[in-house]
Amino acid sequence: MFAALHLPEFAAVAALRPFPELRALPCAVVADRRQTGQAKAPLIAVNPAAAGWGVSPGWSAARARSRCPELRFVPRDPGGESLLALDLLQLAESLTPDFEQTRPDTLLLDLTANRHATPPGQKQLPGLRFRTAATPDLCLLAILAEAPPPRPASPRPKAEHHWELPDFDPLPIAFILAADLPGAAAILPTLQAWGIRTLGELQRLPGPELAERLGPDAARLQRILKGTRERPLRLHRQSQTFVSITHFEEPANHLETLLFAFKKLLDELCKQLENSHQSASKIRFNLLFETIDPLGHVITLPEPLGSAGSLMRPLQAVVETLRLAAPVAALELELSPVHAGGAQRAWFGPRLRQPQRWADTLSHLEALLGPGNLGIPALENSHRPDAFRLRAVPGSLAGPAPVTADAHGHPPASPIPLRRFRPPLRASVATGTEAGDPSPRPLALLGGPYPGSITRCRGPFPLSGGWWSPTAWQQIEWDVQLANGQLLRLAYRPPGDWRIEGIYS
Amino acid sequence: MPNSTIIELQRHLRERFPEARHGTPAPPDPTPPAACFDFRKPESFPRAAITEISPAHATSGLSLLVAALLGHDDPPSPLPGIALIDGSDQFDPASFSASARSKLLWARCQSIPQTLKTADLLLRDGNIPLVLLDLVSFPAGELRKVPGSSWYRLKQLCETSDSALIVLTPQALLPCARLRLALHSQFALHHLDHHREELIETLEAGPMLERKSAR
Repeated sequence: MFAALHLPEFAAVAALRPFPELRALPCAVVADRRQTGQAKAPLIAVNPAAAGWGVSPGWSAARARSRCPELRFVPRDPGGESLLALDLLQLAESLTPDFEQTRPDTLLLDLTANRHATPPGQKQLPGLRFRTAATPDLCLLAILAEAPPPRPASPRPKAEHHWELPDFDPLPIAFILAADLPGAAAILPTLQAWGIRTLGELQRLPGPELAERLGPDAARLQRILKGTRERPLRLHRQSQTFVSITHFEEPANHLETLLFAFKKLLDELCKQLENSHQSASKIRFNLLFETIDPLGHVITLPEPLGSAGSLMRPLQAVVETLRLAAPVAALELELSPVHAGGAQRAWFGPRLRQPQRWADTLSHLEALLGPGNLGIPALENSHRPDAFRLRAVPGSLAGPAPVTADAHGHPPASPIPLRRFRPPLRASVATGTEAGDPSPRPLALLGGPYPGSITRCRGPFPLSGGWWSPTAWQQIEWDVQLANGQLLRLAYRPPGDWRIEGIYS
Repeated sequence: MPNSTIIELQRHLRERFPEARHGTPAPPDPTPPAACFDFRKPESFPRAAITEISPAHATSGLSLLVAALLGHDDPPSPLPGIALIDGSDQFDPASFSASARSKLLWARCQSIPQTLKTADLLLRDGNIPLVLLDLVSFPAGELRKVPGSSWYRLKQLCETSDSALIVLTPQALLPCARLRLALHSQFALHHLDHHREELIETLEAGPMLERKSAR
């Protein structure tokens, strides 16, 4: 047997908690304009007094004020909502250790082992709803569908719970979206086109034919309504923190001292990780100084690691690159725990052979080649020659790099890739002109590394860009073949600047 | 020189009784003809070994070989599968498709020692199965000054990490390359009007020398 705990108008309850004197007055919580981006922020939640006036969430403030002149507006309180969610979690933990936090205001409880659990009293959280049913999804539907309960005038309900199928007839079919049922959004338009108006009508449709017409999502939805589909709860577990801090008696001003302290903290934290059968996905450390502001850094690991030795390598690679302006008074180390091996590896996609080494190698390569010389090449959104950038490599200490579309998805312009000279080589070019073509035509390279007469040429290819900015540029490109067979790309920039952009080899 | 009749007899027995050779190393496959070498398949190059490729002409299509290895129409890759150690920073990203670029880890180097150190780090890491070392732009005289022990060190790293290292050199000079290819294609200006796939098809490699064991 399962139960659902639901606190309606969660945002309103949280915002009005510090002001008990306002609870009896009509109040509404207004969304933050900066978050919604709307000029007129809508109401997020209303308290029962405002609901009694007919005010509903989603209304604009002006409309709500015209309906209820005494309505008071309260700003949203995210901190209060977090505290209220914690209280709700504690209440659920007092009933059963196995529960799912479906939404901040709704918890699904597995009462299989505790059938005599007492429903929580209204004193703890006024307005809290409690509903039992045979399946978790049925609990969720039932508690979202039911009207607010009357004030409890009778003694506490019986401990042994009996549930019955909710009456779905009054509930509109669009309610499946509010309950966030799987696959509901895809089949809702079809159901509405069929004339299905309520959940009760959907519940009474013949099951096999429905599955045949609309697929397994519809069949699953109907089984939820009939109370015959069970699913395991996504059990909520309190997150553990793995943080350790050490203060130096004398401020540390040597790298060895810092590394020794880091190793000691890592040993301690890794034992805790091992005891909880977890690994670390991120390393976060803060260096605290006596005179200047703290310095923090986050290392995202390409794959969860659990041993102190493997975690020390990327940590050491980062710490060795730091240039500190003052001795370190204390350091704080935090590991983000994850369940190692919880994710299925890609069968057919590429993967790293030894991911634990990858970030370390990349940081060494960065140090060897210098910044901006290692990465995955991508083009800038420009036609300027040689306009590119280097994306960070996935798994590097700089953080994960999303796979994004390149600025230029079109095929390369030249079938033979160019070997580009950086910077382009200056050249002295003998030119001629053709009738009707004002641009000079290259005839021979007179000096430089590739001298010789030009036997054939292809062009001109005029390019320009940035005409709207001070960095406007233009050039005319030619592909030329020399007498010795070499293929070059020449660029002419008026009034008389010729350069060899690259060679086709 | 072995008698051709004996070789034919050995081949016949090997096919007829394959279990008789269980546990003994198979003889090296006969060297494929140059025209059969598929540059578009990285597995064509020997793993855990060094392959040296040199151009026979100024326009032999070395850059096309890189393009063939990177592919063209494949979906973008979330991880780089090929590392290009660009000895003199001449790789042109605009000459390659977006999907080809997504497969490439590009290391821009400026000198021979920096290039060799980068190769050492990448091969020691072992996460990139195919490493391309582009030394074509360096004079052969400078490359000959590289101690032979450096190449043997890279060879050992290839064997340890099971990676393939392809070294592009201006002429054959590596002492421990297991496979040595020379590109004989010669492209002219009119080839710039062709499709890249057609040009890759015409890439010719040879003579091909397969060494049974590197010294």
